[in-house]
Amino acid sequence: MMATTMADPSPTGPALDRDAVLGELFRAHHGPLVRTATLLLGDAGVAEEIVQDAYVKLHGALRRLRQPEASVAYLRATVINLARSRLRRYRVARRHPPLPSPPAAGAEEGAVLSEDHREVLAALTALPRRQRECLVLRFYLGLTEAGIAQALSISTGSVKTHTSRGLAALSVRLEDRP
Amino acid sequence: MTIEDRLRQALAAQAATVDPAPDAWTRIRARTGTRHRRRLLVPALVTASAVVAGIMGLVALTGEEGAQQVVTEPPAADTPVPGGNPSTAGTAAPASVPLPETFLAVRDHGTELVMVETATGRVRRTLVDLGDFPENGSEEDKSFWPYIDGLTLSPDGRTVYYSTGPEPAVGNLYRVAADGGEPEQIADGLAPAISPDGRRLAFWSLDAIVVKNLDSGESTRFEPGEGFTYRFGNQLAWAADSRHLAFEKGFVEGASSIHVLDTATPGTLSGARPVGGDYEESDTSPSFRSFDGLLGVVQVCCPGPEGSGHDADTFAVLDPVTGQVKGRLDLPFQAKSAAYDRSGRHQLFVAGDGTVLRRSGGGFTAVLRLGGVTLVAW
Repeated sequence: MMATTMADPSPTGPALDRDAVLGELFRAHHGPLVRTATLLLGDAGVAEEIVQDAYVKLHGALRRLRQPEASVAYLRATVINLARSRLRRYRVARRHPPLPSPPAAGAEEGAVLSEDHREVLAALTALPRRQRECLVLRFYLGLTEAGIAQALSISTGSVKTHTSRGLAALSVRLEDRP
Repeated sequence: MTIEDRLRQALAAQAATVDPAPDAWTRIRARTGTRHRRRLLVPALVTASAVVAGIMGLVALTGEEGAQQVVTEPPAADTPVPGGNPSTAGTAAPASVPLPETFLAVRDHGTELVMVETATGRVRRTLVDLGDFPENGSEEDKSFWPYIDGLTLSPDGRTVYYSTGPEPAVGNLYRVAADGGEPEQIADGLAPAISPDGRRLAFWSLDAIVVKNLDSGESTRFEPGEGFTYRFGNQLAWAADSRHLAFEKGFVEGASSIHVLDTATPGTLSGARPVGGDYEESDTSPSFRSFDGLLGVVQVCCPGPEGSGHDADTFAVLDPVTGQVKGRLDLPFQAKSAAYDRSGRHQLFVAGDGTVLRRSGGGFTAVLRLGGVTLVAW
């Protein structure tokens, strides 16, 4: 699972080299974070932008983090919050738009995404925000309930609830498909 | 193939189509270099303080005035609500109302229901303990471990009603004496809420709301009706008249709105009056302010300035008839829920990290700093 590759480089000590820490975090987490943001937003270009924003924010915050080992959690939480902010901007721009659809199947994707994948992703996109976030963090990033709770600033109980409801809703939606 | 496996494979396939920008590191370095540091300093400070507060557990909130950030105070106590609750509209409550001695909290992954002393945060007694959460157990063990997902206290303070999972759609509803004893299962349902007169208990039953008359035992069921898409229950809140009931309706897009149901009139949930929340912003955790009939809600999502990097959650007070926002408070933490006491003068907030904060008047006081709380009631 992805979680096994998410080792936390732990910046410690007063003489923190922020650039070095940021570089280490970039190498370990940039790709998975861009892909996670893409799954949440449905737009790889915007996902790239907000992940870069998150790294810039982390660079500014590294010295002030009370628990430097929390920098990965900080990154995840920032990416998720920026993604929410971007989704909200979509909604403000058009009052009742659908959420960004799963990326349209281009020639390249067509070779990779099966019909079943597209159906599952479409059903995922239709879920409430928190359920979608919990499912992406759980089944793409492979985070534990505690990790998801930390990333979303909710309790593990809520994570269980949203995950359970999300899976139930997905099952219903996918069964309803002709 | 299970739904989990299908989802895992679909996400992996979708993710594999994404190629991160090859020059991403160069662009990040350009933005974090010396040339840009001055420009980034102020937003970074604002962002860091807010996000760190969310992640690290509100360590700054240690006193009555700690870190408060009031934008607009809710209206004065004697502000009447046009067309609001006739029994309370325009009736000012005394300026100072004693703090309730205790409140109820669910903590430890939702497995423990405790009574807490409001002034000290000390746990007075444990009412329900569903067992130690299997921290080191398998994901399946954790996912199906029972937890408490709804809570209400009778007006006389003598009976606690609560619901338990693990399957949110078919929770079990129990009652237990507030001074302890064996819980008794009374129904299948979720998110119980007892009316201020203590005579009616509302709860979710799948996608319907049931109102049970505790004197006669008779129940009235309000089915979802046409166009009602939300299947599971969240917090319910009674108005002071013990007749109108606020509930959350979720949109497919992820937002939720508050509707008010007249439980004295037969009908469906889709016929209830919409009050707050829309596609742009979720309103959640309804709680009526008894002395003037206004409805408090937590506004969730991301109403902060662009790029602030955190949920600038807001508490708002709405007119339950017109939906007009009567007052708004920017919270210095991410709130999951809020609840007025029966006087409407004191509030408890559950922050995103499970810390409980009390608001009486202007400031916030951290009551339970250890966190881990998922629900409160008083």
